[in-house]
Amino acid sequence: MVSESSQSRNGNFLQKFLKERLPVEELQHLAEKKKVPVHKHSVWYYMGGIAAVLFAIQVITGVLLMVYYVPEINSAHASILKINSQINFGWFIRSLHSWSANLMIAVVIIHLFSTYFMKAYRAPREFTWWTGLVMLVVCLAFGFTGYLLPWDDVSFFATKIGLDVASKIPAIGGLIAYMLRGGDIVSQATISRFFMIHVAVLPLVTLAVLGAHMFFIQVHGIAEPAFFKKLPEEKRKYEKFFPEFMFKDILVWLLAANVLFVLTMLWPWGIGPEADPFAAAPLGIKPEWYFLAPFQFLKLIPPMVGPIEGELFGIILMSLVGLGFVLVPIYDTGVSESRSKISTAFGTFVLLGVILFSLWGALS
Amino acid sequence: MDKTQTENKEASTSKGCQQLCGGGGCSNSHDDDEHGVDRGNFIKGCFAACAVAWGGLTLSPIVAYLIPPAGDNDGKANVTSLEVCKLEELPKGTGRNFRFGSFPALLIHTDDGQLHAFNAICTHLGCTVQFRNDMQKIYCACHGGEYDPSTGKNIAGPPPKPLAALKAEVVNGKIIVSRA
Repeated sequence: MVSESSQSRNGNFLQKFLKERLPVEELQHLAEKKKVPVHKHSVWYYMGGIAAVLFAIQVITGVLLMVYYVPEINSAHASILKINSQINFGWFIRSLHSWSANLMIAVVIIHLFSTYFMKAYRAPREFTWWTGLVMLVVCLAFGFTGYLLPWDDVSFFATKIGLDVASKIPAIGGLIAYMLRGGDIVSQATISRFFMIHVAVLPLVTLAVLGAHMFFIQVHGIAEPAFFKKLPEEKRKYEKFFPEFMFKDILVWLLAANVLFVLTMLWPWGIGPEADPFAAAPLGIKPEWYFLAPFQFLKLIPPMVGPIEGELFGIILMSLVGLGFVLVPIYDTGVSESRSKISTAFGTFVLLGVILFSLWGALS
Repeated sequence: MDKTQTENKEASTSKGCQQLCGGGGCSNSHDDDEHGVDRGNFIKGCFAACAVAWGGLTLSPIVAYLIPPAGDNDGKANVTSLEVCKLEELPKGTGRNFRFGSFPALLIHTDDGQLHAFNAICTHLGCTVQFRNDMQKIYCACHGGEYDPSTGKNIAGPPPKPLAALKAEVVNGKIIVSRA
C-alpha cells in the first residue's frame, strides 16, 4: 500500500513537473484532435510512416557504418569487405542499411503514387505535396551518393554515367558535374564529396524538409479522397490518430521491420570487385532498380533527335514528366472533372511507363 | 455621420495616404511622387539589393572553394606517349584496355594486322568501352553503343560521336601509343 501510494505520488509529481514546463495538454489535445478517415483506400495512409521508420533505421545503421568505413580510394572497398567479413554483425548492419535504403525508396515511390491517385495534392495541401516531391529527390540523391561509397565496379560506372547525364544539362550542367566529381574524372575527390553529401548535407536537408512535410500534415490533417468527402456525414467513418491509428501504425512498422530483417538475413548484401577506373565497363552492367527506367529509356534514344543530342532530348523529356508532377496541384484543383481525369491518366501513363521500362531494363 | 462611419472614413484616408507615400509619412511624399521615387519602396529596394549583394558575397567564396583547380588529378595526367606491351602479347583479333595518363584507352590488333588505339571513354555517357572478340567491334556495356575497331566511328546504339583516336606504332617489337 505504502509503495503504491508513493509511486502514484511520484507519478503526480512528474506530471505536474512536466505540465508546468511543457505544453503537455496542448500536445495531447493536438494528437487527439487529429483523425484518420476510414475507407477502402485507408491502407495507403501507412506508407509515409513506414518510410519514416526506414529512414530512422538508415540513420542508425549509417552512423554505425561510419565507425569502420574509410572514404579513401585505396581503402573504401577494403573497409566494406572488412565490415562484411571481420566485424561482429558487420554484414548485418551493412545489409540492413542497403536493404532499408532500397525498401525506403520503394515505399516513398508507392507513397507518391498513392497520394497522387487519391488527389491529396489539391488545395490546401500543395506544400505537403511539394515537400514530398523534394523528399523523393533527396531519397534518390541518398541512393546515388551512397552507391559510390563501396567503390566497386558497378558503383563506379553508375556514378560516371549519372554525372555525365547531369553534365548534359544546358549552361550549368558541366559545372555541376565538375563540382560533384571534384575534377574531370571519378576519383578520390568524388568519394570525398559524395561521402560529405551522403552523411552531412542530405541528412540536414531531410531534417528540414521532412519536418516541414510533417508540420503541413499536422496543419491540414489527413487528406480525404473525393469519393469519401461526397458521402453523407453519417456514413463518413473516422478513427482517432491517437491512440487508435497510432497503435496500428506501430504494428505496421513492426511488420515492415520484420520484412526488412527477413530480407537481410536471407539475402545479405554483397559487394562487387573493386573499381578499376581504367578497365572496361563489365558486360551486363546495370544500375540499381530505381534508376533502371531512365537507364533503359536513355538506351533507346538515337544519337540525334532532330537538331538535339539524344541524351539532352531524353533529359528534357524526363524533366517534363517531373514538371508535370510539380504543377499538378495547380492544374487539377478539383473544380474541373476533365482536368482531374487528365491528371489521373498522366499519372497512370507515367506509372506504367516506369514499370515497363524498369522490367525491360531488368530483363534485357 | 455616426462614430463608425467617421472611423471608416479616417481609415480609408489613412490607407490612401499609405498607398501614396509608401507608409513613410507625408511631409515629403508629394515631392517624391513628382520625381517618381517612392521613399518606402526605395528603402525596400536598397535592403533587397544589400541582401542579394551580401548573399552573393557569402556564396561566392563557397562556390569557388567547391570548384577544384583544373588538372588537379595526379602527375600521370600529362602522359604523351606510353609503351603498352610487346607486339606478340597482343594477337590479331584482340584488344586491350590500358591507362593513358588520366583516362582509359583501348588498343586493338585487327585481323588485317593493323594496330589502332583510341580514347576508351564512350562518347555517349562516359563509360569505358572494350573490344569484343566475338563481335569484332568496340562495344560499350553500359548502353550498348558500338564503334568500328579500325576507325573508331560510332556505328550502332546511342553514341553521338566517334572515339578520339591515338597513334599506335611498333618500335623494336614494342607497341607504343602516343597522342595523335
